[in-house]
Amino acid sequence: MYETQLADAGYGLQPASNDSRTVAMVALAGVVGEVARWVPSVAGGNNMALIEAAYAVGLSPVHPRSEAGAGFMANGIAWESKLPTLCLVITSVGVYGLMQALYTASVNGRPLVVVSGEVSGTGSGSVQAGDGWDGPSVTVATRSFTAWSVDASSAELAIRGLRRAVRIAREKSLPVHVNIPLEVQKERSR
Amino acid sequence: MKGLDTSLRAATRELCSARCPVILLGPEAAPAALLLVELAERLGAAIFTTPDAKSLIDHRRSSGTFSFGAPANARRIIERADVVLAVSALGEFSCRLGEAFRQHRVIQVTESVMDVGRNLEPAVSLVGMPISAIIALLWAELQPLIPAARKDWFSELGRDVIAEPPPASRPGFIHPIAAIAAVQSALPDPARVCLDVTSGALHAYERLKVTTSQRVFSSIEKGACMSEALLASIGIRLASNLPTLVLVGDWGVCMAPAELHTAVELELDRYVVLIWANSGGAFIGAGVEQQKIVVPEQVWRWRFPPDFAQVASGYGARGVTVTDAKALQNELSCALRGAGPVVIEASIDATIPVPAGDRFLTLGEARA
Repeated sequence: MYETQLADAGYGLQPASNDSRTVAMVALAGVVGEVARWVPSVAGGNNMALIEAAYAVGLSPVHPRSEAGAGFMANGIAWESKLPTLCLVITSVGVYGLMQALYTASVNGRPLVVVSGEVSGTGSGSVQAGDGWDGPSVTVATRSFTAWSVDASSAELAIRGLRRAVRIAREKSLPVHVNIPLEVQKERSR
Repeated sequence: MKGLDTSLRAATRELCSARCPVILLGPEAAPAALLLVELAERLGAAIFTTPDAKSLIDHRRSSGTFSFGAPANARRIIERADVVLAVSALGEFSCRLGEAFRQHRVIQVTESVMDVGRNLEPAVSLVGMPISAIIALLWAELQPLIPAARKDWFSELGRDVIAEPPPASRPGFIHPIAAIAAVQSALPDPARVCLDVTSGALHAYERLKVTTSQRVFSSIEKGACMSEALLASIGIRLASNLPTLVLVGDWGVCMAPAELHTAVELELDRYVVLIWANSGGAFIGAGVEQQKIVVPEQVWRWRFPPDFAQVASGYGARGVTVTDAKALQNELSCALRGAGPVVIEASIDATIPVPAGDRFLTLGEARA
């Protein structure tokens, strides 16, 4: 199912086998024609598969020095292009770093699509966890500023969730947030 | 829809009987801007934009920005107006917390009912459909009732009495009015102008004349977040591929200097950061003075401002400091057409009053 979506979108590296495509690639391939080309992205251990996927599907990631910078750049891109604009960060500190930008996107009606990389394995004790297991939940934290905030805890939810998020951002002209665990991002499509 | 029909008829009556109508456009009015200009021609109405909507109307047709950063002629016209068609959420900076339109009949067109009655009660509110559809319906109602364009009532009030040359300033500093004149002279068309939260932006709201293809990014009405325009400008430059100027205060640039390095790494040409340097938070200083607050000057002013040209150089950008308006114009003109990024620190005369308007007084005296 997922490889069909990637091929339909006409993007990405042509794989030698089905194993070379990750859920992150399939999820981004499913929205690549509907979002702004430029993707502010701050790399961390939990979102590298998303950034790899952004390059692979033909998007143009840019790499600000901070999540605040990424969030506000995404505001600028969305203002200029009027398109849903992806912004790739890590969970927890990454998401909290762009909250001010998310706020201004919310009150000014700009369609940011924040995609955060959550830690692998809920309850595994990672210092950067934002899944709400034993600390704050990033999607709960962003909910006041978004039209939709969701934890996409499976491959299917990640792919469907990102499509739905982009649609909501575009139609409501408001920011959205999808939080995807690393192991889901890296999962091989099947 | 029934409610909207009733409101449309009421709005039509108000506009038909108005002797001195004005139209105020906020950013929400963008999809209907062309039709609103036609509507203004038919009504003989003056057109204003809120600060964040500055470039929605060409400067040759606009009577200025209102209410934050309003020029004197704009205030004169609004004072004499009787009916205001406000296509706006009417936040603080477009109506002075409602005080600006206390004496007017206001017809508010807005996307969300939550915007209605926030700080003033309009005579008529039009909500429930996309703004462009509402304006189209209003136009259809008005056309047969006003078949020909009415004579405008405001041109005498709106004319600048004397075309003043940029005033003199202290040696080594640029008068803010002369700085804005330099920006205007150097600005290509098309271009993008990003106004951060800075006293320089207040001068720009008041005096900078732009066309609709010199789009202005300003985020003062809903959020007023310092350094937002600085950071957003990199995204705007990328997405537009047009010459992009960001006007940011010295305090604003101190909040987020690291992204200069991003702009350098991206090798952004035709990208200019203009730092309005006047030794700290001049706007806050004006507010302290207006309210007669007693605090140490260090609350807003710095003893030793950073050397921004050196900061820029440290990040790999070309940094330059200018102390006169002609040099500012030359540097801007080259940088907006050449390699970059370029950071220009403009030494602005801090002894010239900031046009803070009455924002702080309004905050203090507005109805609870």
